[in-house]
Amino acid sequence: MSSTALSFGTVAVLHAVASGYRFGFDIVDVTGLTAGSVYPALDRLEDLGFVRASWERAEIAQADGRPARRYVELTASGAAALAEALKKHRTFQAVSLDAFGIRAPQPARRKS
Amino acid sequence: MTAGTLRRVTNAVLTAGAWLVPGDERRRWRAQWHADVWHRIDALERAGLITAPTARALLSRTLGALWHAGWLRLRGGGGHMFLHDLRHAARGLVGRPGFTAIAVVTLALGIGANSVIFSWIDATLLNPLPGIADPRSLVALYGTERARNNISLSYPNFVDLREATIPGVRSVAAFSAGALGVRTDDDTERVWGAVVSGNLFETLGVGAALGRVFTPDDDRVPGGHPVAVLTHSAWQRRYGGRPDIVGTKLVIKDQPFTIIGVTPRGFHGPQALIGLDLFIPAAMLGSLVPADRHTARGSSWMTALVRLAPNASMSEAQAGLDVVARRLAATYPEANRDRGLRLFPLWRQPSGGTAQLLPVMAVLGGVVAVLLALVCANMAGLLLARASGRRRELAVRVSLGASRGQVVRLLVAETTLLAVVAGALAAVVTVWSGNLLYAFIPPLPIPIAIDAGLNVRVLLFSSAVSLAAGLLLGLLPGLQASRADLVTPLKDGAAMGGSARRGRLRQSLIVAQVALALVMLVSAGLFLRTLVVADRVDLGFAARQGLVGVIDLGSATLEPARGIERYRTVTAALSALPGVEAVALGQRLPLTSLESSDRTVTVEGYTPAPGDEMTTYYASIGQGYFDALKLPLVEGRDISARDATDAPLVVIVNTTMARRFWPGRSAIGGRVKIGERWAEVIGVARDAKYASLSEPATPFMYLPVDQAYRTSMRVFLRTSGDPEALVPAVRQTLARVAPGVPLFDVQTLAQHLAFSFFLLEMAATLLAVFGAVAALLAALGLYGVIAQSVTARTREIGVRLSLGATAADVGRLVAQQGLSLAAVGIVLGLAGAAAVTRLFEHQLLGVSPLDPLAFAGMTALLVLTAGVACAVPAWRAARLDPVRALRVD
Repeated sequence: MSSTALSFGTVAVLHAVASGYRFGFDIVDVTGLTAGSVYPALDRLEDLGFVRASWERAEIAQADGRPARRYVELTASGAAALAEALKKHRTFQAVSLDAFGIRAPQPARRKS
Repeated sequence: MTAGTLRRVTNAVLTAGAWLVPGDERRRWRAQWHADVWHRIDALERAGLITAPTARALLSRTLGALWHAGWLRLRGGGGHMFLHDLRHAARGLVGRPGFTAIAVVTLALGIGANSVIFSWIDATLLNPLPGIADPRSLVALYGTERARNNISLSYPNFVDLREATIPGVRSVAAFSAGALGVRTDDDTERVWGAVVSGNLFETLGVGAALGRVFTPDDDRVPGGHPVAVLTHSAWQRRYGGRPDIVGTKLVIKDQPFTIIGVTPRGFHGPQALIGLDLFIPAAMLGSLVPADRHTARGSSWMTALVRLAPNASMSEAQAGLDVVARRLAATYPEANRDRGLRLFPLWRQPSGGTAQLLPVMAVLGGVVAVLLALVCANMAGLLLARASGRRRELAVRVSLGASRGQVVRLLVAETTLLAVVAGALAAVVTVWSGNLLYAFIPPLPIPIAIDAGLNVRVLLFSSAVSLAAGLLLGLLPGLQASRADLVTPLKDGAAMGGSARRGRLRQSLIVAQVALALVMLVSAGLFLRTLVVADRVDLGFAARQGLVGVIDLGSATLEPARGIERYRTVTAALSALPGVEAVALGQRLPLTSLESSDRTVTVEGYTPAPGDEMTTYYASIGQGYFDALKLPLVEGRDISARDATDAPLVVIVNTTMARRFWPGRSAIGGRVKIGERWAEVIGVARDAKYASLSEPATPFMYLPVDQAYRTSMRVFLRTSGDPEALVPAVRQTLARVAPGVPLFDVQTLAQHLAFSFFLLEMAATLLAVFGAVAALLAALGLYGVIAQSVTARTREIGVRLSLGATAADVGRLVAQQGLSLAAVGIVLGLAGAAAVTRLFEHQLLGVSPLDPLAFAGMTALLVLTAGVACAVPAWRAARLDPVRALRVD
């Protein structure tokens, strides 16, 4: 699926994942989006193969005396999709790509 | 909130939300959210950050889980299914317009009554100050002393509070609202306004729509800031919204004020329920009243509001204020000994209209909640009956492969659809109901401002109520229908009345309806009884006909001696009018609500015990006050010409005060210290009702106006004929003997007293209406069950008739069934009513909460209603033709 289908909010979530935020609540905190949009966005990104979700190892959680959390990681296709999406959502450019090593696209080619 | 509570609450949300998630995702969804929420609570707990705001934030985030769940449901194709169900349900409902109409109207009654009362509660108690920022962090501050907790603040105490750094408190502002005489070209107009501290607007978070509002700099030098701010409504009403209003002047008591700004539309001032027109800085008080109010620490006249610091709780701020109160008491023991400071949420303010409305609104809220429960029971009965009729349809569905969940979903879709349509209808009623509230309010000299009607909060509330009712109603019969053996009806083709269990459920629903209806009827009966009795409540004075008004000498610079002279001239001239029997001049009359003056008194020879209340209400009065009101003096003498300004101070106390401070002996000759001076008790007057009908006996004292001068007094004329016909003559006389002295707020005594009765009348009227609706619903429910049972037992009745039973036997059989249900309901209802009516005992003005007349009368009414509801089907059963009855399938 082409990244052009990603909404602004979904791109924000993907961007947050790429920046190293891996837990749902952390992504809510950092994006300022509501939990009601972040969690569906994560599920959708997972469906698209842009993030990979796993559960914390049970031993780690048990050692802390808490239930295991689900976390997500950026996949290679996710990184590519993000790079593509960021060309479209130029608001992100000022802050974005250094964090995960992809060079920011040139702000040339204005469409209008 | 503790971490434990937070865990329990969030867990409940997640458990509820799990229902929404499609089965294959449910476990994953639950585990993910559970862990994330758990982790966050853990982190907050460790950091010691579990406060009200963080708990709220977490809760709202947890509610996001429901969105997530809904999204999963839609993605899983549930959306399609749900739409399908809805379409199917809609078709089913349209196909039975009769059932649908009854169901929608019944539900709309229940939901509508709740939305309307909620919108009133919202406008009067929950959000009494429209237009302010963040209402949740604004609270009211009152002084406490022993048993009292509604004492205003004195100006010096307020200034100390304003300047203090108090943990949990961002700012303290204060105001005092009242009527002001604003001079227009050739007349003086009575306008409701407030003197306010310079930081009031900042504290409320209210800006200017035009010009600017006050800042602390507008309230520094006494007498030095002749500026005023108008409310938007005053600007529109009095000045036609002219754009060049800023910079123009208005004159209050000879003092010109420059208008510097207009507040935004919707804001009506810092006083709940009252729509003010203008504000002037507290520093300008001296040009309005001649008193020493800026410096007297014992003179309490300001209402204070506190803006809590960001994220601070009320208890934190309260702890901070306790420290300040102790400091104030230690530094100024004369005025502040035993005084404390206490915060109240706005809806629980101990004085003003809020305090009177709260119990009434609580009763109404409780009653509509009961009504909704009754409506739901009624609807459940209707739906169960319908489910019986639909068993064959549902059985077909199941045999064609529908799962139990699908059947339940279909039923839930139906009831939800019904409830949503009913909720929409209720919203329409609510829009119109804001005016209904005003219909109850009698003409008042006070500008009442209640912004009731539909708003986002009310809409959310009604939607929540509608959805909850819809889900509940659908789930109950849905589960019943799906649990029952759905194949049997297919096999034997019978349309018998359904399983015994369902019959029992319907019967207990009827019993519940009858019981709830009786509780509501008895409550209504008690209030109606109170209304009857209230006419005979001893008000303490016997004048029954007359005219009430306010005369305002205007200028604060008028010397008291000349003012007193003027009062005397006015009284004499008015007494001479034909039709006037007597004239009284008083700072306040009995049953003048929303205004009070009080002072802390010291009584010679009396040592207050801890918990003793030494603050006493008082009023300045003119000569002849007691005679005009027919308020008898039980001992001593009335004030007379010899109690002049320079004579020794005298005071008249009421019976309660006399008994309290001079127990077992005469109060005459006793001495009371008011402010700095001693006054001698010269008379004892009978107790009266001073502020409200339901108030307990209150100590009260009367001071001669010659010795306790006021620039504005109420005048009461006892009349022999129609008081209203006297108004022109009174105005002419005033214009002749005291030119330029305006007469405001002219009312008949009946109108004056109406204010004390209107809450009671409102409660009684609404309760009577709700009670009647409840009785009707219960009767309809009873009728439905009995009628259906007659249909189901047609064959049995046929057999009985052909075996020799008479029509009367059959009728009795049927009626007995219905009446025994009603009897059980009535017994439960009586017990319930006896338990519930105690809760509003204080509103009943001496009528016992177990008043036999109300209990017996309402029981009889309900028995009669139930009798009619049973008689119709019984009569029909008795007339059955046995041959046809036997042939019934």
